[in-house]
Amino acid sequence: MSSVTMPESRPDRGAAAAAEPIARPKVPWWLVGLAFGTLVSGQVVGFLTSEPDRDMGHLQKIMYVHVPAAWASFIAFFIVFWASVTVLWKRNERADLLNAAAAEAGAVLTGLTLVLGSIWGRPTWGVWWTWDARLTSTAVLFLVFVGFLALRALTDDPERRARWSAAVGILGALNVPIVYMSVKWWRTLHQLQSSPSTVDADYVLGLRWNAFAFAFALAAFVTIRYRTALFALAADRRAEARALAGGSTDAR
Amino acid sequence: MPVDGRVTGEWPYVIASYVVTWVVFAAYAFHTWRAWSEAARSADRPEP
Repeated sequence: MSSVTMPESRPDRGAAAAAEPIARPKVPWWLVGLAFGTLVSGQVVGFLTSEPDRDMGHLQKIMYVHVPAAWASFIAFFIVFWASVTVLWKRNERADLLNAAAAEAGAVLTGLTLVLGSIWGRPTWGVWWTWDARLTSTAVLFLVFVGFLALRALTDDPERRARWSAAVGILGALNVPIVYMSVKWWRTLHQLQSSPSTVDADYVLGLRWNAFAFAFALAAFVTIRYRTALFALAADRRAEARALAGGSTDAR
Repeated sequence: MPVDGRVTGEWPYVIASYVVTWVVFAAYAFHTWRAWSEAARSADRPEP
């Protein structure tokens, strides 16, 4: 495989990069506010509008955080898939940074989904954990993305890091349809997929509202992490360029 | 535990799930903010 030559790393940009001022990474405050506002209001709406379930009682309210966390992680892994393909196909450096940002947020949301599912499982199934197809495939998904982050942390060469993590990203994202369909493909303790079409009408508003809230939170986290990484890269390049410029002056 | 097919004592689990959600979001927001402020500091570093 040929090496990744990122446009920003061309040596002819060195002198200009040394002098270039770098603007601070911007925080999308409107998106942060939207995410926070919809998270708080979504949980209030969920509590106020949903009657206790016939069998699960108030435990049903865990659905408003457990299901949106899982959906948001799927969105994150869709971004990972797209970014990973772009990295391998077009050797795009920005896609690599987006890949890392989405994978990190996706791993956090998958971990949260597992913990919330465990809290829900204890009073309904009588166990915190069972080797059910849905739970196991979700745990595998989580571990793949923990591996993705470990791989990035342990690989110094940026080109190799981009290629390897893109390969792991594609492998992990391909697990998402397996996680989603596991409740249909295998006989599981976990119920069928919850969606506005499968839950009681009383629960649809809360579920939709919280799904949007988690999606906005994901968008805010990924945007800030991506912009920060982009900025850190530019700062590294500037430091490198300054060091090179200083070295050539000393040599004269 | 279920009584006549209906789960009881559910509130501690409901509260725990919401507390865990907010703790995870707060921790990740802190991690994100720390990375951002680290990057912003390096932007302010004067040229040697």
